[in-house]
Amino acid sequence: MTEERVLQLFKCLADRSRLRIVQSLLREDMYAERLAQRLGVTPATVSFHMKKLEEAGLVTSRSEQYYTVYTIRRDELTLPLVELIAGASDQTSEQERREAQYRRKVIETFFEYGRLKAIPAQRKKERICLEEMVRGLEPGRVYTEPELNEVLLRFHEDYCTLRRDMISEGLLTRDGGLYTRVE
Amino acid sequence: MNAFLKDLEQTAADLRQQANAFAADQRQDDADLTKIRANIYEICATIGNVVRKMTPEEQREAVYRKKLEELPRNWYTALEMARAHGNAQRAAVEELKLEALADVLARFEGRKEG
Repeated sequence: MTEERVLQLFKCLADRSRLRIVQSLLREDMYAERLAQRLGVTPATVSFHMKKLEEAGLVTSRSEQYYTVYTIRRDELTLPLVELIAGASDQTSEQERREAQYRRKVIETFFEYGRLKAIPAQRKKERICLEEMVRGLEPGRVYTEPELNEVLLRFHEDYCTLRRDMISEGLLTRDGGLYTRVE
Repeated sequence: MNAFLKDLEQTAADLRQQANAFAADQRQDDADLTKIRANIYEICATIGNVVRKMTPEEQREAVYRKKLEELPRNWYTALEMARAHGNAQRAAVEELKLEALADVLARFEGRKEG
C-alpha cells in the first residue's frame, strides 16, 4: 500500500462519526437512513461519510430495492497496523509530492466536472490547466482547426485563447492549419 | 413575520452551537455540514429582514416567498451535475441545503396557517 493510501485511510478514520459507522457496519450491513438515525445526523450527511469511506477502500455498497446497503471490507480492517505502517511505500521525493499536490489543487480549483471555469490569469496555473486539457487530444493525431476547436469547446467557450496559448506554451504544433499534440 | 424570522435566527444559532459540539467531539465533517445548514437559515433570515424593511406590509409575504423559491435554482443544477458525475460528497452538500430551505418554506407556510 502506498504512503498516500495509508494516510488517506488514517485520515478517514480520524473522525468519530466515521468510526461509529465502521463500528455499526462491523456488526451488520446497513443502509444510510438507519445509520443516520444512529448517529443523529441527516441521511445526506451519512452519504457524505460513506463516500469518504468508500474512497478509502473501507466499505462497498450495493442497491437493494430503494436503499443503498453498505458493507464493511473486513480484509482491509484486519491488516495488522504495524504491517500497514511499515509497508507504506513512498518513492516520490518531497519536491515531487509538493508539485503534484499543487497541480491537483489548481485542477480542482479551475475545473468543475471536466470543464474549465475560468482561464487562470497566472501563467503557471494556466500552464497546468492547458496540460490537463491537451490530454484530451490523441497523441500523434493530426487535427484540423474545426476538429481542434470542437475538442477545446468541451472545456471552455474561449477556444481561440486556449488554442493560441497551447501553441505558445509548446504543447501543440501548428503546420498549415493542422495541429498536433506535442509529446 | 417577526416571530418567524426570530425563529430562523434561533435555529441558525442552535445549529452553530451543534457544529461547535461536533468539532469538539472529533466530528469535523459533521461540524462543517452543520455550519452549511446554519448558513441557509441565516441567509433566509437576512432576506426576510431586508424584505420586512424594504417592502410594504401587504406585499411582504409574496415577495419573501418568491425570493425563497428563487434561491435554490443553482443548487438544483449543482445537485443534478453532482449526481450525473458521481460526486456524492457535493451531492450530499446540495441535498442538505435544499432540505434546510424546504424546512424554512414549510415553517413559513405553517406560520401563515397558524
